[in-house]
Amino acid sequence: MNKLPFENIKREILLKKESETNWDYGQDPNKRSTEELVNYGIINLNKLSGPTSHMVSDYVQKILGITKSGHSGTLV
Amino acid sequence: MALGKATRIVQTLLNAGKEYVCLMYLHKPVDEKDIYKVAEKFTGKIKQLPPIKSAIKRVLRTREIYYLNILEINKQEVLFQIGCEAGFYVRKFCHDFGKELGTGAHMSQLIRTKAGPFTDKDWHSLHDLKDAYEFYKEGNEKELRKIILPIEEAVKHLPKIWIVDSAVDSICHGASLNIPGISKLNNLNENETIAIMTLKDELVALGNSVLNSGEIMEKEKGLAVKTKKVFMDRNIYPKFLSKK
Repeated sequence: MNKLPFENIKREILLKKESETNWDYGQDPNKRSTEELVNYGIINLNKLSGPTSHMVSDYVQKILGITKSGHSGTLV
Repeated sequence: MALGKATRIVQTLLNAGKEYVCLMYLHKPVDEKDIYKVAEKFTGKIKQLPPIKSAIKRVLRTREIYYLNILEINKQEVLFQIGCEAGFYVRKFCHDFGKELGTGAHMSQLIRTKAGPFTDKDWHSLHDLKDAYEFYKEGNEKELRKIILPIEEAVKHLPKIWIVDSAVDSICHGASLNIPGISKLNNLNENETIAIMTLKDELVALGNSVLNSGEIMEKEKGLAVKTKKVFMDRNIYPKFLSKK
């Protein structure tokens, strides 16, 4: 298995200063509601050849009832 | 694909390395040994002229091929896997490969198998998405939550800096990150794209480091990251008045 450059980087975590977070505000990303995810999430989508990335983007918006989305389409 | 307020995160994926599996068709039969020879030559840094039909200026530019594996050769069809830098055109690559080989060649099929942290191992089809959304409307959100991931999944490949609660809201207002606001950090270089995170692992913003991690660890004050794109809404974290 070959790896892309970033996959070979071992990222250590360096502690600059100890700090506690207050759970009264913000939240664990995995606990976001589905409503929030639909307007602030990402999908690893397998685009079939055929429709363009732009068409797929429109289609996803229709399915989810949202007005904004973006793709990082394939360069061919 | 990024949804709603997450839309602008796609830039980090556009700038990330990619992997493709491609089927190339050679215009004449050729000795397999020659195919391997050209493949070896076309690994590492190579020059590429973007195709006529592209959105960027057509000047020769250098792109790195990290790895190139010939998976199968069947007469004039060559199936290969390629790991490459962002902005590499595989269709043009096939054309250039055919030229070098002396036979001519074109790309006949292409699948992207990696884009930054995303791979073909965990992708979903539009049909999966549509079905999952129907379930969700009927009250079952389980499937949809498997498909739509938090925006933080799209910055997994970037170095991160975790900031203290009191620094969050000013970043949300577009301020740059100073050293006193930092709690933890990955090892990172100067002038890299950095994901600025809360201590709850929420993405706050993307920025450009002006120092490396060694310098950040050493210094007590000063600018560490210039904020470029803010993702977290304002006023989620409270405003803290400066102690002065």
